[in-house]
Amino acid sequence: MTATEKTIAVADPVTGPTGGRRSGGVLRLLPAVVVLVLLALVPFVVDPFGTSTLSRVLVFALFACSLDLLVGITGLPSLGHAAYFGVGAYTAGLVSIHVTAEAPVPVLAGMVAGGLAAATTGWLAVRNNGVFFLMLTLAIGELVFQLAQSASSVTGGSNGLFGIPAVRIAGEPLTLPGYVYWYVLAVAALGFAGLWTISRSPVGAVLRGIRDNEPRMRSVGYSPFRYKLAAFVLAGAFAGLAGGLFAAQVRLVTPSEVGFELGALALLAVILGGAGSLWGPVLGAAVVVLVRDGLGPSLDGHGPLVLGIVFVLAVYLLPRGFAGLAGFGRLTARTARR
Amino acid sequence: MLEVRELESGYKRSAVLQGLDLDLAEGSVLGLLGRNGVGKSTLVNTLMGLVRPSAGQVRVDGVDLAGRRPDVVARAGVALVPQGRRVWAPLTVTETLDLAARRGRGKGPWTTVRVLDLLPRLGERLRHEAGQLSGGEQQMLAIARALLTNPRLVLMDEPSDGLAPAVVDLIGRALTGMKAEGVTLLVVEQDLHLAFAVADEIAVMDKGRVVHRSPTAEFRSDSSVAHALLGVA
Repeated sequence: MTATEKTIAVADPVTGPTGGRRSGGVLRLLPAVVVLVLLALVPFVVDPFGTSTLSRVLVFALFACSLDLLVGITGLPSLGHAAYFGVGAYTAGLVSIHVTAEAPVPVLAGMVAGGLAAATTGWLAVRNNGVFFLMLTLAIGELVFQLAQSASSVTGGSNGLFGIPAVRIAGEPLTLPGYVYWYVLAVAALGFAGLWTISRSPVGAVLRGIRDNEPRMRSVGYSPFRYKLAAFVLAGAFAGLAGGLFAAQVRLVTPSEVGFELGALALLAVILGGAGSLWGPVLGAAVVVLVRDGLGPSLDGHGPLVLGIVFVLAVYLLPRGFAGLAGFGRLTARTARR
Repeated sequence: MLEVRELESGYKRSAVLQGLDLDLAEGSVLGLLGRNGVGKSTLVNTLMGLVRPSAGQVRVDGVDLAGRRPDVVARAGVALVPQGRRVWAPLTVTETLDLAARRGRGKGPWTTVRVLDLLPRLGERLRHEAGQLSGGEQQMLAIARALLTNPRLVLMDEPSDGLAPAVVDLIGRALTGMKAEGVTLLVVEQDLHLAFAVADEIAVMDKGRVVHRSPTAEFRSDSSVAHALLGVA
């Protein structure tokens, strides 16, 4: 075995064993496991209102992460991503009312519906880049919003879809906020794991390559259209999953869950957290929900104003979001070790 | 293996290639020289499908690829090492090699192990992001990325551009290694020493056409040609 082959055998997943990388991967999972355990303990130490707020944070965080797959990983900034969240929420609500509320059927139905809606619209949207993509997704979002308003026999129109039964596990309805929270946490954790796996897979590497230099990806033989469409559909599916969780948690779906404002807030969460990191948008989502739902009511409904100020500050002080702070921390630690 | 006939190409209203003809035999290495702005990079980008030609034919092993998309051209066996490297900055060296290898697996002799034997410096940088590499290492990565697709023809646009002389020597050695393996190369180059070291023949472009072509030894022995066409002694 040559010296080069030895190096590859340790470090290169292209051709050889990846033992070193795997053991590092287990260590990298440790913080996620600790966070998950701490989150699971929340209902024991936080009141029901706080638990419900954290459920909303988790749902919105999963939605923001699905948008990050498009914006941060693939380089496709979308303003209409709430359409797929709304489609998932309505579908999960309708399945719960008319078919079954037994977990995980409604959220899986929401996920499939979100993916199908994204596949239907994505083939048109991903043919464009930059401001054209932005405008097309905005138009798609508005179309779905108008559909939610006008198809009142299905969606309940502007009154919303109400009467959604509590999600059931083995026939038992989850009515207490703590049980709903654990259900949301479990599904959201699986959703985050799915998105993380995609972003770290060879497909994720192709998507990041497309974001960085699309013509060069073509020159190596990849067709960016297929990969961008796949990213769009996957992002729509995970947004639909988040929408399904929203329906399980709030048990009311209105057209505002499809609207521009929700999509814009998700984009804000992605930028605040740091596009492309996936974990950063989780923190961004927490800030957005806590300011909107926690701080907003005490400011006489001026939560959006505070969010605007936070956004301006973040653009100037944290151009790479919260994730950029972690990168700076690692760089400082490396420099100190030298 | 490469036949270019009456190729016309350019950008919007600017016609750069004006009826260019070029042939390249399998396993040969052609050094393409010319002053700035004569159309060398436009030719490479047009052959790769990155610039759409307005007329003419580009045949690789008899298949007309003129005007086809770059991914179609790449799958037909053409690879590009672009000017300025253009590596995927956020991807690690391993990820870059993996992406290229997925396109070329089973299509030819180049594997990651063989490419890293040719370019051993990359083996020490596998976990580094491409954007953190030096210019020379990025050039090696761009060469490795092209080779791993197992191409029949590699187009190289100024591989020595912006590199220190010692690094240019390393790149020259890599090109010589590729030549020894029978890779067909079209090398656009401003560095005459590098072009002379690797090319079997030298072609000179002027005003969007190939105006001179001769074996490398003959070109080197007749300094009047280089002086007249390139403005060098």
